[in-house]
Amino acid sequence: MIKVEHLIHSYDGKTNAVDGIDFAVERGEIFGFLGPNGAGKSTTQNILTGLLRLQKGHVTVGGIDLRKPTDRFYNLIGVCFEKPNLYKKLTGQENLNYHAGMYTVPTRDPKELLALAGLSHAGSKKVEAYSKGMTQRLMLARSMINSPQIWFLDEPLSGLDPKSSMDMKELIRHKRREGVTIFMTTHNMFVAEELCDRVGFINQGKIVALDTPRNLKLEYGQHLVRVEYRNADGLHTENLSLDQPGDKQKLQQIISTENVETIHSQEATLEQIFIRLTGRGLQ
Amino acid sequence: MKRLGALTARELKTAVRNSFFAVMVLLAVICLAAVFWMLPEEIKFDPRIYYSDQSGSGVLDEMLGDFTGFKEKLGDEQEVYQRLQEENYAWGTVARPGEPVPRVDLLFQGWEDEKMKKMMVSATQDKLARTFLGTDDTYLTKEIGGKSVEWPPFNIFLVPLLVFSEVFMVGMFFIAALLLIEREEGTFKAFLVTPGRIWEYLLSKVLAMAVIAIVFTLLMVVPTLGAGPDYPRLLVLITLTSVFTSLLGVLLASYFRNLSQFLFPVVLLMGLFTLPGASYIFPSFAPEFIRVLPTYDMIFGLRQAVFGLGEVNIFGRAALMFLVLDVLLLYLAKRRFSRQELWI
Repeated sequence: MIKVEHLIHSYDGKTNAVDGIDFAVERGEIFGFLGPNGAGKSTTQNILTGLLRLQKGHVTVGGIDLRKPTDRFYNLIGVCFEKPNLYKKLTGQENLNYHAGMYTVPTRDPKELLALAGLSHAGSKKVEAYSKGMTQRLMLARSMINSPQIWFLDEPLSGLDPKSSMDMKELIRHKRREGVTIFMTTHNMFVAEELCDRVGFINQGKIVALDTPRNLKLEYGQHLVRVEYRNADGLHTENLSLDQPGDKQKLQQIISTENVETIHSQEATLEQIFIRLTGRGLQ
Repeated sequence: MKRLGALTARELKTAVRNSFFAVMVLLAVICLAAVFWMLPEEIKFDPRIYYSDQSGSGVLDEMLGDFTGFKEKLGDEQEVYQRLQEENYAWGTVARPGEPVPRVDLLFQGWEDEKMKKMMVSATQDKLARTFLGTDDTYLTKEIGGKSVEWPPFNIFLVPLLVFSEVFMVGMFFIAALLLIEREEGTFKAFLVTPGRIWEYLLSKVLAMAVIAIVFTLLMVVPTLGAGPDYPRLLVLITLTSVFTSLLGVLLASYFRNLSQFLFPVVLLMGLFTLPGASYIFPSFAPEFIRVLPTYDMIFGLRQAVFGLGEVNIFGRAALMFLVLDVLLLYLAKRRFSRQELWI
């Protein structure tokens, strides 16, 4: 659904904010695009959503060449921005009604979307009176007004309480099951790990790793388990390899004879992988 | 059309909820109060005249005999020059001995219209020729029975000018405020990822402002002039003015990040474009740099539409000029707003 080949973008003509990246996102896939501020994440998303003009490279979204985005392209995509950008003086429902009026394809009933976002009770309230979480939910609802086939989500769960966050994650998974392609940019590794089928790490305009979270964690993590157990001599901690026969035997022995309190596999987190690859954190 | 309708409806709602309509109604009430209770019905704007007759012929006393405004006879030429340097709205004349006719100098300060100067010179030459050379009258005055129009009282006469000024100034501020609020809220970015066109976005703002301008015009003109004005012509001109000022505001606002940065250049620009208002009040004050402003014809076009005064063709000229300017400004604004770095 999304195909990016040798994409380059420069704001000043000297340095490249995006420096020759390639990737593809399949239909019905949740693709996480991770990187720190200034890495080229937003520039890439802005190009993919038609907000920035394509300078160099080849990009197609839904089969449409982004050198000339058409009405069909804009009818095909939905974008949920990170920063709230709603009309604060309009009500939630008025915001959705207005946005629905922009499309040339059949749109969803704003009331139905308000219900989906848990905002039925606040549809007639002006957005200026919404909490951060309510605003974020309305932004998500707005991005679904045209039933997009390609859904761009920029930090979609920021500002949501745990319950809303859980509901939204379920909604995102539900959309994937419906065949919607989801391109998600985020700083939040836990969200990426939980939701994304594949993730791409971008740093200084280049993609430094791209795979499923599981493969990345295995590739860059240690094949160890950390065991904590207690006996008469006190609390003990052991790091045991899952590959060495001696360590495997010792692990079995500890489990069967000692009072084991915790066992953790020692694969890397996405954050640790990113730091190892780039020497900097994601924030 | 559906999209333009949705955009315009949203603009009007935003304008109402940002109290723009309330501000316009309040302004109309203030202006109406000024028209009915504060501005005089009659006002004299004749310049003061200073003169000195060194010719001994009494020619200046005779020439100025019918003048009902302020005039003062001074002892010598130097005194006349001195008074003209001290005062702003005056003119002078000096007569010296001469044969066969006295020499008469007309002294101007520079504010006078060229046409007015030429008329005064001709009248003086004619008077001198008839008095001293015995020339017969070579002209006739004749009533040709044209369309007669009564000059309105001064306070009512100012209504078109008040309407124009408010539509021009407030329209520019309102649209800039709307745009800068939207820039702050990032809503234009959300619009850009829809099939909506930039020209539709701009036009919807302009249309909403035109509706506000029309409502304001009717609030001002109906109570003061009733059924008298040519409303279709008046509303056409007001709409074109509103579109002009809105698009100018849109263009200017795109160069600034907030309203306070926007204020200074806009006040200058508004001052320039409303200068023809001075010619409206003092018709003899119409220097070239004011007459070349597009708003000059528009102000007099409004006067013509409201009172039927002045040149009949001015409506067509003003409307055509503003139509061309509006199309040009829409094109420039569309180009300007296509620059993505403005919004991303």
